[in-house]
Amino acid sequence: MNEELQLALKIKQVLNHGTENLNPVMARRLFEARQKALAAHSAPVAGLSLAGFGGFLTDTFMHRGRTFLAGVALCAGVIGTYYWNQFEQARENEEIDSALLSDELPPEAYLDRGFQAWLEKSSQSSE
Amino acid sequence: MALPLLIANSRKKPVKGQKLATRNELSDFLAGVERRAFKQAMFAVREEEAAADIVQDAMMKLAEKYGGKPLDELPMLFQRILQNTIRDFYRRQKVRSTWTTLFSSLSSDEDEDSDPLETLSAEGLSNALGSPHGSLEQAQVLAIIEKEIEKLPTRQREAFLMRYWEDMDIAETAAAMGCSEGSVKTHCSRATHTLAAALKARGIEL
Repeated sequence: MNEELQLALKIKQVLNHGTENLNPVMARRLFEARQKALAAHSAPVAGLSLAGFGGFLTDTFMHRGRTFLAGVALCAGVIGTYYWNQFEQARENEEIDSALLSDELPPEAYLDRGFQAWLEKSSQSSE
Repeated sequence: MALPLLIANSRKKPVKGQKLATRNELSDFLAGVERRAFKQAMFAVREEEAAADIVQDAMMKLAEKYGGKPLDELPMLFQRILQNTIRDFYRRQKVRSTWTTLFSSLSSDEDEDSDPLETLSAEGLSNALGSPHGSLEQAQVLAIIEKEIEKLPTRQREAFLMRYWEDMDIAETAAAMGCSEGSVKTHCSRATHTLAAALKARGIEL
């Protein structure tokens, strides 16, 4: 193991020597690549944050804010849909009621069994 | 797969008190590692332009996605990104060569018998024959060592370079390679033995 390590360290020295004598064009290219990478390194300063108590509040609540807002939006949607359906139902009932009331036929007629029987009979005879 | 491990590790919140890398520290880190990274990429892809592109991609990915990580995590993350970028290059090359082979087989049958691997091994052989067996210049020794490192199996080369050239410990190397610490030890040991045997065969004593 010791021999292995010694050989590895000697190889490392030789390899390091090689990197020191890298051709200038490639060294320049690597330097430019590094500058480009550093220009892209904007993540840590991209968002400003508050210090002290404000920072604590931000860290504690704002990180979960999106999930919370999505949950609130979902609940609001479900409740809204429920009430909207109720309004729709009420409007339909209202239309039926007004149709019944405005009709020449009195609403009581629909509850009369004799009238139902007469309707069936007259429809069969018309066929 | 090893990639989820990286994501899990990289998304881990920094431990309280652990210092995050500043722009200057990232710059120093990249400056210290860029030449070795270029050589590593060269060992793998053997094309200067492609190797430089790979290093640039790896640096960009590190700076964009992991630039705010703690300083002591950067070597492992960078190595992981570098090895993945090299693998991406292999994949792209494979797809390209598949299409090239397809089109060349459709267009012409010239040079059907030529095998790039044969040319490569012949090149290596001519270098070996051309090199003196006595006291070699350091540049020649370097060239031979680099050639032998190129010839190592990929995983052995990765483990050897990360462990001994990048000075990463076994745990870091294992995390970067996505394998067990035992595998790292085995890869390193095999790589060192292969290199020792190859150098001995060429009459080089370090």
